[in-house]
Amino acid sequence: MKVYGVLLVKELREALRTGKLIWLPAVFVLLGLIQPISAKFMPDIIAAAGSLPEGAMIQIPIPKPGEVLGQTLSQFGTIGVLAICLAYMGTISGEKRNGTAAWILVKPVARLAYVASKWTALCLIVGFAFLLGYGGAWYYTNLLIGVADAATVAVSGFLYFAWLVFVGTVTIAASAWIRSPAGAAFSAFGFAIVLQIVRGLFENRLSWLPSGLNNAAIAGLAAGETPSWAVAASVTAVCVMALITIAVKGANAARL
Amino acid sequence: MNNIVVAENLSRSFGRTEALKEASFAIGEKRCIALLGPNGAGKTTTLSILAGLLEPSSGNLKTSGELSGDRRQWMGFLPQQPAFFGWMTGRETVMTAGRLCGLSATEAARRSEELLEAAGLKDAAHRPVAGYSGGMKQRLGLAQAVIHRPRLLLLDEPVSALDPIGRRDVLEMLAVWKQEMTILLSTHVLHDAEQICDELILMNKGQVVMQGEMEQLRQAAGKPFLRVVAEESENASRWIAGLRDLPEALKVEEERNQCRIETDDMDALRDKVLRSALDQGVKLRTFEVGRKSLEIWFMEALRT
Repeated sequence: MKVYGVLLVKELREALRTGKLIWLPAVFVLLGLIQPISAKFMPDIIAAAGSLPEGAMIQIPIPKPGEVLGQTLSQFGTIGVLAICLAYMGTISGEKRNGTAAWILVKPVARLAYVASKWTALCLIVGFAFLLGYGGAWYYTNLLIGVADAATVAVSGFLYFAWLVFVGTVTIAASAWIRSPAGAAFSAFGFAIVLQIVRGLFENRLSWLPSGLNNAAIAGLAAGETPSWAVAASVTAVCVMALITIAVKGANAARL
Repeated sequence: MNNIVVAENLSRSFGRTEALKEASFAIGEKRCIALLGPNGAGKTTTLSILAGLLEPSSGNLKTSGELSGDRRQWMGFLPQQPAFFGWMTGRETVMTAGRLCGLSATEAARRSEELLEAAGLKDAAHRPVAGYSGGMKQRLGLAQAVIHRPRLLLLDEPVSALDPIGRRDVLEMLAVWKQEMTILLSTHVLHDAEQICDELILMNKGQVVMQGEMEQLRQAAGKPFLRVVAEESENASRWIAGLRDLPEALKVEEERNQCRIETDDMDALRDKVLRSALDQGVKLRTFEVGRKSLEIWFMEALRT
């Protein structure tokens, strides 16, 4: 337990010094701000572009606050997820390759503590980034468009955060087993995209997939009422635990 | 003598290559042991197994009863290319190592200062490790490996990659520490092993060729000899021919103005030879006491 704390401090310090704690939140904040601003000013932007014939009438309805936040989450679902995969693609394989994993594991450190500290750091850092990005989106939506229902916003935020943590956990597990960081990032990102697509194709039967959380979050914001997500959340929790176990198995210091 | 670790028939293969074949050896307490052998002899594999980084394919390791449990708790390990987090400072590296080994924050901080001082890194302690030189990294590696006062310190080629000054620094640190703990270090340079080690485990092609006390091996390597060279003169030739008759001389090889005498009683022989040289007015040019070096013995042992 003590060792876990020491490793967690190390992870967070590393994230701070290598800039991960700066650029990952920056990506989310940028994505979070673009959506409400562009939703509000889209008519002006199009008008200013000036390539329209004289007298053209454009009617772009300004979306509802919940819809804007939902669109923000969709943005997070592509670029945000990619950023997370890139941030964590080498978290174990990199340390294995340069020997720092061995440096840690020749000391009386349980492999679970090693992986768990990385996972906790992931939750905290992704949580921080997501909080800033989503919070920023919510603030600007309130300012520019209208007040969204706080309870729905909170529930959706939580569900979406769980989905992001799931993707991050997949990346950690992949980096424990796949030697090349790019390979790990690609596998995790591809897996996340496939899950989302499959969930979209078989909407009725596969709502229990972890990507169901993502859909529930976005649908909840659009409709103002969150569809049931308990099953998807339980499945995600089980998957996260299984992935951590897989990562622990792969996190031996021996060369790949 | 108390053995803290005994290895019995350790084997390890990687795919088809057998890196280690039935290696058996014992590691005693408070000794400095050299694991000597050419490249590819299985030294790193042996150390990795001892450190718990690799599992042996077969065979087992027995640790003495009082040291049961996780052996990483009383072991320190420094790999061949020590790897650190470049973004950590030297002090943080040593501190983190101490904390991971179970020291309290205050204890870790106290030991860190002590060890950074001993390793000559006090002034560089606040700098990121990424900017350290090879020698500094090696000393940092040693400092962090002993922070929890291990009983057994495993060092993989600790001096091979260092320049002469770095080498001397490391050997000096080890000379102090070997009074408190057992040091097992691997090297392919006999000279380094001779400088600080009491004991030798000779490895070749994954097998332990022999294990023994350095002094014993040195004795076994050959008898001590005396070599004298005199300035050429008739007198000197006569004197050298006469040395053959000394009772201490076991084997004499002579050649005009020089000779080489093997003996069991070096002190008596040295006295007599010097005295007679002075008495007879022989001008000595070289007077050397030596022993057949372990180097020759080492080469012979590897060849067989």
